[in-house]
Amino acid sequence: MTETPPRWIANILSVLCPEHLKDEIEGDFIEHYHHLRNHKNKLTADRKAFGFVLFSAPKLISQRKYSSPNHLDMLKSYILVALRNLRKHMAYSLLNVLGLAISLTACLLIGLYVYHEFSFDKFHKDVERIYRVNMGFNSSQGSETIYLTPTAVLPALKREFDEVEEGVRLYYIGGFSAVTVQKDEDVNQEKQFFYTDSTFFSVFDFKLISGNREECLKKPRSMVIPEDVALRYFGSVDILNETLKVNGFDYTITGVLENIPDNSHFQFRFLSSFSTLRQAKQEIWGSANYSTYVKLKAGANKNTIGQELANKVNEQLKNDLGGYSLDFELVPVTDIHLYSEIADEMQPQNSIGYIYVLLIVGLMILVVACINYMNLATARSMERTKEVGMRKVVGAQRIQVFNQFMGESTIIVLLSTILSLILASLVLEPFNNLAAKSFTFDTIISLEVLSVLVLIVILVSVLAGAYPSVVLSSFSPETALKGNFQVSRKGSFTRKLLVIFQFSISLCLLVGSIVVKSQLSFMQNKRLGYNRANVIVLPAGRFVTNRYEQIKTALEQKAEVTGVSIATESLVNVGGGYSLDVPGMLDNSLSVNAVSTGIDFIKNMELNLLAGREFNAADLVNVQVEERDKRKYAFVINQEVCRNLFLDPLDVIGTKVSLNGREGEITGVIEDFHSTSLHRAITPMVLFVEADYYNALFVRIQPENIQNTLLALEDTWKELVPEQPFIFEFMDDQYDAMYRAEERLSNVFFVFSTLAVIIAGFGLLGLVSFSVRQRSKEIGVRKVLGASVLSIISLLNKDFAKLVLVAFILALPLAWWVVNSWLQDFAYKIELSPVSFILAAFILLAMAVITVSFQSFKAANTNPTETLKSE
Amino acid sequence: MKGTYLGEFEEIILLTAAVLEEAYGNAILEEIELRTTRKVNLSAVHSSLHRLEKKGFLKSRKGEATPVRGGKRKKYYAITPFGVSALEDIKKLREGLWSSISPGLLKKYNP
Repeated sequence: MTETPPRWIANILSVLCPEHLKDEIEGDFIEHYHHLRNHKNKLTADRKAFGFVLFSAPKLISQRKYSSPNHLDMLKSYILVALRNLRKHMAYSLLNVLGLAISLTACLLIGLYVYHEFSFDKFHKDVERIYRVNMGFNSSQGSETIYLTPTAVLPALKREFDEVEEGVRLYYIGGFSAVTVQKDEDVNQEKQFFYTDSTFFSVFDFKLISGNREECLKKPRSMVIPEDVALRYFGSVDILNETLKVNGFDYTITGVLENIPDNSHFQFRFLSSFSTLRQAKQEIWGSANYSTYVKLKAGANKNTIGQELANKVNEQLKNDLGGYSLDFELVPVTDIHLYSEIADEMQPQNSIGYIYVLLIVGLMILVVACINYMNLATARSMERTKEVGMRKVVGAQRIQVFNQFMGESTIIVLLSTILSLILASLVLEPFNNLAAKSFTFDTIISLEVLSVLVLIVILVSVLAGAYPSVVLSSFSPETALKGNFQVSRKGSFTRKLLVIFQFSISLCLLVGSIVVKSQLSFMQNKRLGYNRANVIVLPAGRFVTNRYEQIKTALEQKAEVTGVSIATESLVNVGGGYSLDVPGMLDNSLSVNAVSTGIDFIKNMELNLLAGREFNAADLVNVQVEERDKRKYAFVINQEVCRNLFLDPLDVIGTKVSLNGREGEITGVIEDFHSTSLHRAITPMVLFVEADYYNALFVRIQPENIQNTLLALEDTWKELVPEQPFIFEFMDDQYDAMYRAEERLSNVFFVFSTLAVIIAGFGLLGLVSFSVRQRSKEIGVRKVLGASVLSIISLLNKDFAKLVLVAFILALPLAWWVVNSWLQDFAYKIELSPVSFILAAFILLAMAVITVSFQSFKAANTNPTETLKSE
Repeated sequence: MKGTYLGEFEEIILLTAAVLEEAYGNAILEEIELRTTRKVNLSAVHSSLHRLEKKGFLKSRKGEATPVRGGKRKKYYAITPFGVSALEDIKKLREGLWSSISPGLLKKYNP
């Protein structure tokens, strides 16, 4: 009986030992073991046997490379062949890699943007329980929802509902007019200024660096500021109990916050205690200027709370509401940024629609680049038929060839991804400007981004690589090797289809770009009914209002100034909502927008008076009577109000009306003007004089030499109102700012449609040069028979022009439907003319013709002897 | 000469392979253990044999399979002329050195 080594040791050796050494090593090993067992006991023999395996292992493993070819070797060969192919066809590879890299860059950046948009407000603890209370007015005229509520809503909620854990009110004073913040000589106008309840930090999770979370917003005139503001004013964050002058009053710093995350739906630089305001002490239902946020207990139902609150409030205020009823809705705070349906948010928000548009655009660009890859790979397949045939002859199965070409697409996609990371970091700066974001290189190479990129690499490799791999692996070796293999008609048909698809996408993007741009310029150039050119708007606080007459006289003395006026708000975007009662004519009150103005406002704004008179000095005197019920107001209305009263402008003069309790009569009618963004139709509008308070001062200046005028005005201003810095906005800019979203969309469309066209151009370039090469003999024969260069160029162009035409017909209905539904958002919009579509088609056609001609010109100029000499 | 350098263990393996008629791993191992009484590891023998073959001092052929080897064939090694000349070189070197030692010294320690 021969003693054999323990099976497990033998197995290890058998696995380690390369095939060609098995006889010697294993044989010697078994024999050696047998020998040992004859002289020693089993334990020693086993130990020695194991020692042998252990000592031999490194050498045996290193010898394995001499083993027979395996999968690893094939993979190495595939990669080698792929890289050789890339190098050999440098131009194709560049087109492919560059096209894919550009589109991946676009997708990467869009992805970053979208991810950031979806992250809004998610940093608060228990954010799913935080809601904002929106208030809706319903009347016979319709309903309107605003994000503002009266001061009384929060106390009512806390009293009546156990489910409300905590709540906070915000008063965005900066939304009405900027606040003057002063530190010694350093005077600034600040807009992002909020007053808020001391419970702020029990609802929202902004991190305090110093100060007490519960106490810091309790005392009147205490203030919490974020780090960047602290550094801006004090150059330090160690500033507890320091003071800042706010509109002339000393406010104490009671806390410093970490910088406000830029994915918070409200951005603030100053947060002051609500107890500073006298409104805080009263529960008023009358004026809605405060946004109310609540944190509910887990499991509470937001809908019933809103419903019950509305019932209670409507019951309680039955007599004061007139024809109105109120409703309340609790909206999740995370929905505000993207899903808010309120047109006039506290600060500008985005909309989910734009996010979807962006995602679709990004996807389209990726598809265009993938199609490029598919087309170039299948078009070039002819050159690789011999390789495929050879592989199959020596035994490759179809799946192996398929895997090989999938691997090649993966390599190309991988290269593009690396390039796209580089590209993305290069264009990060302009992209941040375009999208109003602040991404850094670190964001790009973060783990999330990279892991998503890996997914994209896999996805795109499959998307772009599957079709060519199927085609290439389907070649049968005998036809492939016979020599005169022609790419099938079916292949070129698919290619044409893909090109048409690609062109359709580019066309849709181009049409979108053109239409958005023309709607934007339509809005920017629309005659509004007042003249917004050359008007500068200054915030008018206490200091300006008190000295208004003096300021007006001083400024109007200047030759550069053509007029000065004052009002509660700028006509660019009128927010103030009032209700107008017309006794004897209307049963319910009419909800109107109203602006309280100085007496020369109509003239200064160049509003067009249709009937009656402008305001005069007597009107001002009449409203300054001590006893409130003896005051007599003068109202100037627009045509829309007349239409609601079913009266002619001339007949309406003298009608007795009351505006939120202000008694008076209509003294004038002005032509309708656009008092808000062109998304919305013109509303009933009332102007009236009331010497109470104003927010904005308007100075109309001469259009020439604006720079010098502003410098001169600044000097005068410093003498007149030393407390307030000369910081102003142009009315034009205010107006344009309303269309930031559209402007951004227009830019985005422009950039991405350009990219799509360029990438499609890359693909076309590759296809044309391929088709030129394939038809080189045909071109040669044609030239020999007397064809001119021009006729050959047009021969090649015809094929591709046809594709553009087909794409145009296919894309037309889709593009029309998309832009038309986008335009439905606007009350005032451009007519959709065929010009936009034809222009888009023309741009694409021009791109195609230039690309094709560029390639075919070379071919048409080749001497036919070159192409025909070999057969 | 780096390529033809022979280590002490390699020299012994090479000499043993020259001594034995049928020199395969186990035979060499047993021969060395017999003559030197030192413990030799089989894996060391294998790696030296492979190294010597690669350097061209040894050549090999496949031999017969035996039941005691689990049916595996032996691999016989035989010295090549190059191997012989390498051994001779070493021997010459040693002899040269031996002859250069003064006879008095050797007598002193090895009477």
